[in-house]
Amino acid sequence: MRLGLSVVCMAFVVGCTQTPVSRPPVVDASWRANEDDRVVSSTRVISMSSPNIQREKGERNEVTPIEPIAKIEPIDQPKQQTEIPPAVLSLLEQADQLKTAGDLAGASSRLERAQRIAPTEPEVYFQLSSLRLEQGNHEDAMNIALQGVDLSGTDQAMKRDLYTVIARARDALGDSAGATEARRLARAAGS
Amino acid sequence: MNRWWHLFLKLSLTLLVAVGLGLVYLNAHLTRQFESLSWAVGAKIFARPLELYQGAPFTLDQVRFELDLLNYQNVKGRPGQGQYQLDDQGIQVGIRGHAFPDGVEPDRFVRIDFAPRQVSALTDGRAQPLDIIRFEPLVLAQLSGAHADREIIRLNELPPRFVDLLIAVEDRGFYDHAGISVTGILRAALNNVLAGRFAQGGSTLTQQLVKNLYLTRERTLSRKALEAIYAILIDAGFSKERILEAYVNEVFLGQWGNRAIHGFGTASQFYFGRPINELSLSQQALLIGLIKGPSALNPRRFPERAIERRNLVLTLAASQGVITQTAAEAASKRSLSVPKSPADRIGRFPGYVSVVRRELTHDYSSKQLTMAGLKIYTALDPQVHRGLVEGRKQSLARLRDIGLDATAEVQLGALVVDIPTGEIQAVLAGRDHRIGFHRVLDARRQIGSLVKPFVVAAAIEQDTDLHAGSLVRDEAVSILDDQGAVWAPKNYDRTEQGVVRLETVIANSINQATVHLAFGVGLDPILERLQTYGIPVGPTKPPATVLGVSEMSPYQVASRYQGLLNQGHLAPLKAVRTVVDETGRTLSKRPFQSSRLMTARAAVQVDHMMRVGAKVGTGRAFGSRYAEVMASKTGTTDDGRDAWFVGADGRRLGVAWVGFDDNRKAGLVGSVAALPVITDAFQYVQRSNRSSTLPDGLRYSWINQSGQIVDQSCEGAEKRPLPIDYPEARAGDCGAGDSDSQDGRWLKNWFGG
Repeated sequence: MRLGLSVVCMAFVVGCTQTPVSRPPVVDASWRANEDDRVVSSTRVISMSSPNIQREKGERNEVTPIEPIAKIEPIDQPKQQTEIPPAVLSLLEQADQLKTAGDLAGASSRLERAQRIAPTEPEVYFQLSSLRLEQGNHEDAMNIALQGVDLSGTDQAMKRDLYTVIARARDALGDSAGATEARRLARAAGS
Repeated sequence: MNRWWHLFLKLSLTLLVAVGLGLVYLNAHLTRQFESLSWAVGAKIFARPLELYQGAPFTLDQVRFELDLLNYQNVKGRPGQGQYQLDDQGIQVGIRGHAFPDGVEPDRFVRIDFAPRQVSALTDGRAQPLDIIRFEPLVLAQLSGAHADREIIRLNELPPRFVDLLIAVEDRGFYDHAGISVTGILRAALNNVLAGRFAQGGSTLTQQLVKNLYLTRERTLSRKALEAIYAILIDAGFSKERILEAYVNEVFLGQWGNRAIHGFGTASQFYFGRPINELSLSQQALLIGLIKGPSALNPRRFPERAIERRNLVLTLAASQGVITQTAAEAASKRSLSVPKSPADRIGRFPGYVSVVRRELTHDYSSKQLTMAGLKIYTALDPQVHRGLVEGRKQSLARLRDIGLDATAEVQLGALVVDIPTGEIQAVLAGRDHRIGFHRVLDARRQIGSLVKPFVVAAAIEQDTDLHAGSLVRDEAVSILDDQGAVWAPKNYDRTEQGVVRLETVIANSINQATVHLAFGVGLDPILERLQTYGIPVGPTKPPATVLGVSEMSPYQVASRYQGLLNQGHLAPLKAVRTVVDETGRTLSKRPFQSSRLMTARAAVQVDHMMRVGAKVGTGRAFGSRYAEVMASKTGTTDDGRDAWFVGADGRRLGVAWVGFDDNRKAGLVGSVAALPVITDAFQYVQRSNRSSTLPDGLRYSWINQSGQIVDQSCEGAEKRPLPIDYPEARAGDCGAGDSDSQDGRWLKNWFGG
């Protein structure tokens, strides 16, 4: 059931790079551009300034200009993966059945096969982290869920589910502040 | 007289009792030995199985390559087990089943259709779609003691005619005699006369068996007598089936180095690369013919003799009515069809096997590994291995041609890792397959510029405002250390640009700018972070750490880059997936684990800078070979002692080190010596673009060549991941300095030349 829902959600994910969830507070505005100053990054050049460093003025190598910037996007950008492949679904279903039957190791090996086929599919990481939670392995549960978060792009429902796993794992690990933070992020993603 | 006679009788009786007691003892001893005959099987190491499903990234050629490695036979007509047939759209295969640790993959017929670059459909014999199938995994190696390397078979696994053929040729009276056969000896003699040569031995199968099991090879009369007694005792104590089964698993059929080939199951794999139930009549006859003289009749070395012997076997069998004359004649016309071993085709795997052994050392003693009949399932990818081996060959040939490897002593260590899982897919421990010093695991060498992506990641984690377009000074530096020594690193090409974008520091591997960056952000925090990334920083915290004086093995380098190129999520490297014992019970399994190496924000930004490196930077010879978006970093140490290269696509990462074991000055360069090894490693696999999914905190924006955030419509604007707290450029805003940026004059505006 959880699975079906997610498949539908995935189908609506087209891009994943727009609409940031939240804007972190500006910590150091001393040299950062504000809304009026659009030219941002050239206002500072990172350079050493420690007193124990001497610059040898006389010694200069040949100066060459910055070379043109490179395009590193694929020529025709492949469409974002929009649905879970049937093979992965089949493995996730098998894992689910094994988990229900109490064979957690069997479920884990099915999920790891699914991960090899679809290593960027957050659903796989959600299932794996939930299983680790059930296996009592809270540290791995948290870390695998965090990995899922980083793969989720704009899939807010997925992030909500993953943060919920993280919160439960942190509770079990005794990290109540971390758990509270994860719950807050889960709520923020769920809106 | 009577007295003497009496004494004689007494003595005889004593002797008889003694012999009788001896026989009773011998019998008990033999029985015990025979019953405990278990043929300890050495551990088998398997490659990853080829796994197919709709959308699997495999072409028909790639699938055929793997089928050929597994010695599937290309046939016309519906394929049986171990066979395949090509047609217009795809391929039909009779898959050999395999009992995997997580379930049995049955023998079955499948049809595979292909779209460009992937499997488009997978169906069974009734045209029903299949979700997913696995082929049986390739056997990489068998870890075995002297007699522990066998493919044990049961009688019912033999092809139907096989036992009849065997008995017809070796021991026609097997089911009737009592262990030895007088008529057998006479018949053999007669047949030998008829055949005009020595074709049949007089020994029964039972005699041959006890000879193999219990006796020395010398041909003396007393040994012959002992052999007869043993044979009679065994025959009396065990069923004919039991004896036959022991025989087919024990018979000596060849020698390969220090490996003795015992039993028909092992011989079938050894000579034909397939299970015995798939052998043709001609192949069965060949194996049976080998009993006579495995060395003299070795089909790989003496094909004519082997054919002659095989045809004699067929003639004998036909004359006894076991097969028809027509079948015998047809089989006699077949060529030998003894394929090359997988090792001959894609190289051997000693480097990988060492990694497997090293991983298992913690859990198993060496004795357990060779005796327990373990099955070790690994992640070795034959397609990656094949590419890596070719890359090694190309690179060494080139180094020889340009005079850098005149003495053939240049060494090399390389491995390829599956980034998301940390699984090791291929390993080369040296310049050839000789097992000695393992350069991937045990060589500790300066990593040179391979450290730069970690320095930049540390800088970004330390100062989260940094991004690809941040500007860094690139001018001469000289630093006075605590001891009063001056450290003044130069750029590799002895040029400097005054100021560079942060991404250029990585893409073009700029030393001076790296030092400016590290000192500008703060050397101490940078070194502290490098330490947490697993880059060793010496107790004196030398500033040169930021230019790569740390010494690491290729394995360690790969393990750090795995985390960096995996959005900062570290997965421990592993070669072994699962180990099961001979009953199929799982003994050990290292489940997938993950931990945080660095923030996803830092990792993904550095990842993109490495993409620029592969596109236009030091790794362009790697990036330009493929259409996909790749990422890379080169490394070269002082005097060219070490050449390094790290290259990745969306899925895999390869690390190569090239240099001399004695660390001599070698004039090697990462982009020349090490790059081609990894470039070739990607040639036989389907590559994918590095991901464009960004973690929270980053979004794609457009920057110009002065590192300014501009509108995407601006000339020369390129997409880069930037922290989301930067405002986006207004429509049409192309930033200052854009007008004269073509010739770099804008630099003057900002930095006064």
